[in-house]
Formats: sequence, C-alpha cells, structure tokens
Amino acid sequence: MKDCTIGKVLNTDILVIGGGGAGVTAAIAAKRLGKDVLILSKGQVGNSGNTIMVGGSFAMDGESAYYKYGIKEADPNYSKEMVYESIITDGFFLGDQPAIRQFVEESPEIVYEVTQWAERAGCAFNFCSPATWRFSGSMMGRALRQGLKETPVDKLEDCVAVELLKDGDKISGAVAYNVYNGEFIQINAKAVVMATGGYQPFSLKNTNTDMTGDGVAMAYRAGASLSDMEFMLFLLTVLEPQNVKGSIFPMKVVLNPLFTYRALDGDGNEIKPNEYLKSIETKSELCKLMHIIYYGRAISEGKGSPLGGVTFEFLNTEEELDHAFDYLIKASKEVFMTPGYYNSVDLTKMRQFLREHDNKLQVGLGNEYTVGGILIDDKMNTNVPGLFAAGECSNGVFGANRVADALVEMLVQGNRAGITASEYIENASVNYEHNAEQAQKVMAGILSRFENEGGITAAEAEEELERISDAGLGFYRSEEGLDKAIKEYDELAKKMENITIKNKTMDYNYEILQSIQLKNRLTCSQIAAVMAKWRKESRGLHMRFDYPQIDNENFLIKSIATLKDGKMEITHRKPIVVDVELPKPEKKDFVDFILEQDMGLQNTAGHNKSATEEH
Amino acid sequence: MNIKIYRFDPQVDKEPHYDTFSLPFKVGEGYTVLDMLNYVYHNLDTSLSYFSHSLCNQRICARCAVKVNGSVRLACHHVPEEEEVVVEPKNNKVVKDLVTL
Repeated sequence: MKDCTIGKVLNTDILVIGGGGAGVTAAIAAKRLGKDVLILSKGQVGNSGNTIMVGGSFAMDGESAYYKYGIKEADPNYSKEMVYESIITDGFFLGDQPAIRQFVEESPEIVYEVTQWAERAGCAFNFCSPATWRFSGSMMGRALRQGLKETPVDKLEDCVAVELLKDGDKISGAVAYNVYNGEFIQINAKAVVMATGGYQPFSLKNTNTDMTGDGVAMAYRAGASLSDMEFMLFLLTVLEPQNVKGSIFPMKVVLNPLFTYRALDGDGNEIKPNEYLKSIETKSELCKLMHIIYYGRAISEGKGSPLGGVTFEFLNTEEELDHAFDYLIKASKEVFMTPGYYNSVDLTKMRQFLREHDNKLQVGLGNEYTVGGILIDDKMNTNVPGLFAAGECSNGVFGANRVADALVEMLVQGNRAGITASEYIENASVNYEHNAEQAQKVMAGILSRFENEGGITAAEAEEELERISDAGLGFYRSEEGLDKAIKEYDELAKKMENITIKNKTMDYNYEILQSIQLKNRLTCSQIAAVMAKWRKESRGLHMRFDYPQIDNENFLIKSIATLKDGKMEITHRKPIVVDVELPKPEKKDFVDFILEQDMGLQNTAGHNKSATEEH
Repeated sequence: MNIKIYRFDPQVDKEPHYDTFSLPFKVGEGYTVLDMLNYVYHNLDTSLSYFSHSLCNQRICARCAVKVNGSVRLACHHVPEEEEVVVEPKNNKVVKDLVTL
C-alpha cells in the first residue's frame, strides 16, 4: 500500500483552477481587488490548454474599437447590437440573453487590455478592420504571462486538480496532484474559480492533451449543474501528411479567398453544400457548422475518404496556389509564427505535398471546443456557493452553436469570475475543518488503483472511450447509436473500477494521471450522450439522422444535469430571454432555419483581410 | 523501424538501461517521435514515462523535447529518417525515463 499522507497543505482566499486565458484573467481581477489568489494549472500558466491552440484572431465590436479606443481603422458599423443579436441567432436561440449581454458589454475592456499586454510583451497583435486582432497561440500565451508579470499571482504549475472540497453546501478548497513527483496537495480556499476548459472524447485530436473535462466533471461531482453538453464543435483537421496530422491548417485555407476547393467523398463524388452557406465560408466562422452539416454527414454515413475524412481538391491553377502559399508564408511572419510555418506545418513542404498529390488533401473533423459545461449566470455564479466558472468549461452564452470567439469568452468571463469570487468571499464564512479528512479519502481512492490487478489499462480505457465516442457521439447521431454508446460507456465505467497500473512509482506516472483524466472525460461523455438522446431534433451542433428538423415547439429548451444522491437528474428550462424574441414554436428544415435567421456573425476578416485587400 | 528508449526510474533503478521496441512504421512514412512513443505506450509498455500531459502536439508549447539520435528535438515535430531511433532525456535531471525537470 502506498503512503497515504497528504504532501502539503496550502491556504488561499481564491483558488483559480486552470492556466489559460480564463484562469489568468480571473486571478488578475481578484488580485487587483486585494485578494490572496493561487493559480493551479495542469501545465504551465500561459503555455497550456486550448488557449495556446488559437487559430489566429479575436475581436471586439467595431463601435467600441472606434469610439472608445480611438482605433481609426476600426469599422463602427460592426456594432455591439449586431454582435449581441448574432450570438443569439448563431446559438439557435439557446443561449441565456443576460450572459450574452455580459459578453458583449464587458468584453471590449478586457480584450483591449490583453492587446496592451501583448504590446508590452513585445509581440503586438496585428489589427484589421472591423475590430479584429491577429496573433498566434504563443503570442496569446506571452500576453497572458505579461499580465501576470504586471500583477503577480502565486502559481502551482504541472499540478492537476483532482477533486473539490466542501464545507456542507459550500466550496472549501480542492485536492491537487503534482504530475512530476506524485505529491498530493490539499488547498484550503474560500472560493474556487473553475477555468479548466472543455473535454474531447474522440480519437482525432487537434488540441492540447489537457482537454479532459477535469473541471466540468469535478464541479458536477461537487453538485454543480451542467448544461447543453451535447453540443460539440468540430474543426477541419489535417489527416495527411502524417507528421502534421491534427493541425487545423485547413481552416487557414477555407477562410482565405485566395484558395478555391471542392470537397470529395470517399467515392470521389463532390459534396455540394448549400450555395449560400458555401459562399459565406470566407466571411464567417459559421462555416464550421457548414463543414459539419455536409462533410461530417459524408463521414458519419461511412462515405469518408480512406483516412476517414473528406478530400479537398484545390481548383486553383499552380500559379494561384503558389501565390496563395506565398501569402500564408508572409502572414506567418506578421503573427510571429516561425517564418514559413503555421505552427507545425512547414508551408513550403505542404505546397510540395499538394503538388505531388494532384492538389488533393484529406482532411477530417476534429473536436475543437465544448459548448456545454458548468451552468453559469451573467456573473459566473454556479449553483454551488463558492464555485464560479469561466471560459470553455462553462455554459450559458453560446447556446447550441458557437460562432463568436471562444478567446473572448475566456477573457470576459474570467475577469468577471475573479470579481464575483472576490465579492463572495467578503461575507463568506468557510470552515476548513473537514478538508483534511476529505482530501485523505480522495488520495486513498486514487492510490488504491495500484492494488488493482488484471483489469483494463488506462491506455486501453482511453482507446475504448474514443471508439465509443467516435461511433455514437460524432457529427450525426441516432437513437440506436446513442443507446449503444450509453450502454458501452456504462460498461467502460465498470471496467475502469479495476483500472490496472503497470507503472508502480509515483514520479511522473502518466497512467495514474490518465486514469484521473479518463474518469472525467467519461463522465462528460456519458452526460453528453444522455442529453443527445433526449434531444429528438437537430439544432446547432447536434444533428440527428432520425430527427433532421429543428423543433422549436418542443426542444427550444436547455438540458441541465445535476448529481442528486449519486444519480444523474436531468431537468429542462427555457433559455432566459431579455429583449430578443424566440422563434415561432414550429418544426422547420434545419438548413432553411439557418438561412431564414440569417445566421453567421461576419468575424473572419482577421484571417483574410489583407488577402482580400491585395486582390 | 526500431526505437531504443532510455529507461530509468530513480526510485527503484540503480542504473539506467535501454529498451528496444520494434515499430510497424517505415522510414519515409512521416511518423514523429511522439507518434512512436505513443505507439509504445499504447501497445507495448504502459509503464513508459515521457512528457504527455499538457502537450500541444503542434509545435506550440515546446515542452516535449527529447534527445533523438544525439540531438535535442521536439518529439511532436521531429520525423526521424533513421532505421534505429535512439531516444534519451534532453538533460541529466531525469524524473523518470524520458521526463526531465
């Protein structure tokens, strides 16, 4: 039996869990209000999570940029109201309007501040009209670290939060596990801000290995309600060549008007999206939904390319392609990437690959972002006193589909969560008396896995989880597929009770870390599958083969899961409406509804503006 | 291809040693060092430790560096061209196997 002694005990006012944009802005906001703050991060603060995977830009509304911040190149016609209404419609009306209002009203200030951090860090973001800044993931990381340099906050890095601690109904801290030395740490805190990002249950990856739903599942176990977990955003992802598999490079291509392409299924037949939706591909990130509707369908129907995606066939001439790649190479310098590279992709080699493959490239759809998560209000409160949530791990703003920036979500919610948590602890009386006993129990539960024998390994469990998710919870779902997934997830949960660890020492034991993460990924997946089965319609990022229509009569409601006496209880409620009316209660063709509502916040200018200007 | 991996658990081993695994990959297929380590972990030996948490796999975070055939490389980005790939820790502050401080 391993030594079950807690390695150390730390005390803080506010514990922020997560080292990305939401965590950093929450910590800085609370620190500025004079609070004692600790950031706990599974990786390095400002160099981890989905934050550093950013594809290329973020934005504020043009009115604020032009009038409030005096940026003359900004377009004031890209108004605050337009952004507000777009988030509502692009979310298929499922977002809570007060939370959307908070996003729109409060984001310009924090977005601008982050651009100032970037400037002072020596990596100024590149501004384009209407009010967009272009930059790389590393630059965002540098900007956040600059913010922390100016407002220093205590950090605990490469430590993963394992479980929340409670004093009755209230949060009283958390238990963490040091990935490098295996030490367990008890953290006493009056409040916790969860900023841990989303979760990805599928086999094709395009983001950081951090994204395992730790915060979402932990909050759920501590009594927090989760909502709208069935909505998952997928993004075009490189399948070949092998060395850059997982790159989101294809997005650079589709958003850029210099490239023209058509998509082919596995039989070489052209996949023809709705013409209007195809035409706005370079203008709005709504194109991600278009890719899922059409390309995702071909893949879900088993008509994918040999590598399980679709094949992009470029229709440009050789000269045009050379020119388009030259443009990308030039842009890579502007956004402080390694010149000639888009993250892992050597652009010259990619051009060469296309030349050698008849200008064809197989691309898949990888899970980029989790829309669902911990249900929050417009102040980042959860239903658990002392627990606040911000960024991708939360749910409230984006409804059934996200088009606006997740980067802005993390910053604006993180900042607000830091303020709300600070206000909360003014009057909170939290007793840490029972923390040690709870922490001990959590630690013993994890260490007992070393005693297991002959069971499934963490590596096998991960493959099993991904196989079930690929088959049942992918782009297009069905009653039959979801029933199967729910059953198989339950069986996997049972098998994981006897998860067997071969690596027997505590120093950097990835099997133990993976077993912790997998439990969380599985919990999130199980809840998503139950909600997806209940939703007998197609809405936003949830598409059903068996219920292809959007049903505003019966399903314009959110699903909320709460753990009650060890069982999942699902309730439903209407989204909170303030000033934008919900659509008529009727069933409609899914694509007709998108067109009728004129969806698609035109937010991709930052990716391609200079390409357009040059031509 | 074969991969020869440095193994050392300071808590139990007196001396480091190397384990060699045969991989179903051919030179020229474009597999990165990380693809190879993932293959070993998932299929051959789950006790292998290499930097695997908080890993971007896209040449952004730069945390997965190891020594490959004598030179320090990012595991997620480097594609070995040799039949035998020797992977060692990038410095001598070994936590376990390929993981260093």
